[in-house]
Amino acid sequence: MSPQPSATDLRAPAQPAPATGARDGDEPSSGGGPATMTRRSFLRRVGIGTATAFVLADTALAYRAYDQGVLAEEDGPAFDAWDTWRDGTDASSLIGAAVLAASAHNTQPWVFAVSDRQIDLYADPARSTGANDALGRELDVSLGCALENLQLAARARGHLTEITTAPGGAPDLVASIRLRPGTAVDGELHRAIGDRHSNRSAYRPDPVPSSALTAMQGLVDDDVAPARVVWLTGTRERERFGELLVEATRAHVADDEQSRDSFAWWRSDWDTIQRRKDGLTIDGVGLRPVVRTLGKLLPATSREDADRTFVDRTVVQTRSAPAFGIIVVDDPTSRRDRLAGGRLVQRLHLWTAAHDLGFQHMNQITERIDRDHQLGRVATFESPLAELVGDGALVAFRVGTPTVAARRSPRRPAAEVVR
Amino acid sequence: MTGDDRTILKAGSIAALLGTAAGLAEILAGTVSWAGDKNDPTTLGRVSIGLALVIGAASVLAARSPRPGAQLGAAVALLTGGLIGLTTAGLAWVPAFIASTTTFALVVRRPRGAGTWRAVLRAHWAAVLVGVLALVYLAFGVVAAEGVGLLGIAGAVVACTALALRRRSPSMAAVGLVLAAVPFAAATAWTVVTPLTAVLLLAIGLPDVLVRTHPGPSSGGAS
Repeated sequence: MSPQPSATDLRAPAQPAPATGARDGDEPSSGGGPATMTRRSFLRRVGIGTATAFVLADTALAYRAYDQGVLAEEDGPAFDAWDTWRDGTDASSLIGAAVLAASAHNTQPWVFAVSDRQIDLYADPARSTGANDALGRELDVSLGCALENLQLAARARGHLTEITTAPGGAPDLVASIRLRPGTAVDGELHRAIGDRHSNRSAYRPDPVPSSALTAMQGLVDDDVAPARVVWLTGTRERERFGELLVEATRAHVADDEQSRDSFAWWRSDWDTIQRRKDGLTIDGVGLRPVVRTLGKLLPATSREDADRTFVDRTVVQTRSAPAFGIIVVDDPTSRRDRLAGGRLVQRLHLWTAAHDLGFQHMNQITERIDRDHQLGRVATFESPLAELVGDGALVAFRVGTPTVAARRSPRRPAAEVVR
Repeated sequence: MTGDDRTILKAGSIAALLGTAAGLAEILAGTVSWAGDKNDPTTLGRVSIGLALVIGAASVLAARSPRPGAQLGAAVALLTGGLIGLTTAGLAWVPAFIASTTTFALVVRRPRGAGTWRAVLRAHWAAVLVGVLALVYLAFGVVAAEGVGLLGIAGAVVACTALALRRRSPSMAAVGLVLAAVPFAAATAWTVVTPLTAVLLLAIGLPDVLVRTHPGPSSGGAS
């Protein structure tokens, strides 16, 4: 005999016993009949759904952040060279300092051959920036930067050096450095090798102290002859040079080949950065940390966006520059002069690193001049530049007090650049 | 132990063995394409072996503990462990992934009381979400620089401890959640993601901890 429902059972649906931990308002977990959704249970479901959606979105964002190395900035094999460059004292250990030199678009266009008493520096033409370095000027200047680091490291580790630039023989051999035992001289420029980074942030309006300009002028010596530096610190000449830089940048992005060849060295993916260990990254743009992070979390930049950013950043960089410097040589087409200019610009860069100043190479004008020559056109930027700095301009840069600290750039370690 | 339990245990053990093999392969030959061509194969190989051990432990748990919570946890560990492994050892992990997902399917499809897992999820949904967020902290703590990374790892551990304590001492659990969430988020505020994770951790975790254990009006308190 089955039990008969009581009067109470017939009046209202039975309240189910809540499951362990269940709260008031939970919908019945079972009960045979169709479940009735109360307003409270509906709101609870919406709450759970919303919270779950937020957590899933956060997890996806976290994965993107992990994948883009947001928390691993300046970490990994692409950045190890910055921590190991002082290791060792023999000839091969000097390469660790050389690979930290500045180079156009961070192409690192160098290869070294090392023996006990000699290091040969070769150009790697495959690492050219193409239409942006139409006549190979920046490639040679980059090699000059590496040469300077190499010599500073050699002296600091007790080697006397004898450098022969453009020694002939193999076409890509640009310099030979003979080493002899000597007394170690660990100067301020050498100590700054691991702290030197391009700073592309806006600079403070404070003028560069004249004592700093004088000290940098003092870095010009016979070792880097015929290279010298011309400073633009007056308001009018800075504005004029800045206008030329912005115009040259606009011409650059309007030149499809230059734009493509430049974007080829842009690294937006963390895996690519770690694998290639070269090129320009969002860490090097000089953005504030939160903006930098957002840039990494967002989808990869298109070439068109990168071009727009290039122009916009150049406007910011030129307007905030308290001083421009231009390296001038006798013959900007000569490899020897270019190497000398590269050595001088590296010295200046190291000096600014040792004195907490920002430094950024800005070569859009000379890039356009070379590009026009390559295409057989009139080099429209040649005369305006000569009016400002005279003949023989090789490369340019700006100096000032940065608003954002510079970050490390990826580097190929010595083992990857030695034959 | 039933026949189903033994099958789950066998499948899980195979997944763990295959995962360990993939981890060793990653350590020894991680720069080749079939092992993912990784930059840091030694670390990823160790992570792969760690995941294989988690998969093995999850299968033991699923085979031995009939509790719905344990079953659910084991199923999640088997699936996520198998999926994450694909990012550590590339194609070398695929056999382990197949074995792991098979074990997951065996656990999920095993006969049990209708609605058991749903009831567990419904009762503990906030804790599950906080657990996921704690995993985000743990992962970020592992990849972050040493000092800051420890804050993330400690935050994850403290958050899980707070969850375990929430019935015994709600106020301690609430303090624990705050201590778990805030320091790491503050130290890495520029990452955007950790502050967001901290906000979610507190927004979901604190109400769960504080409201759940409040005595209701019918609890018999003196009036």
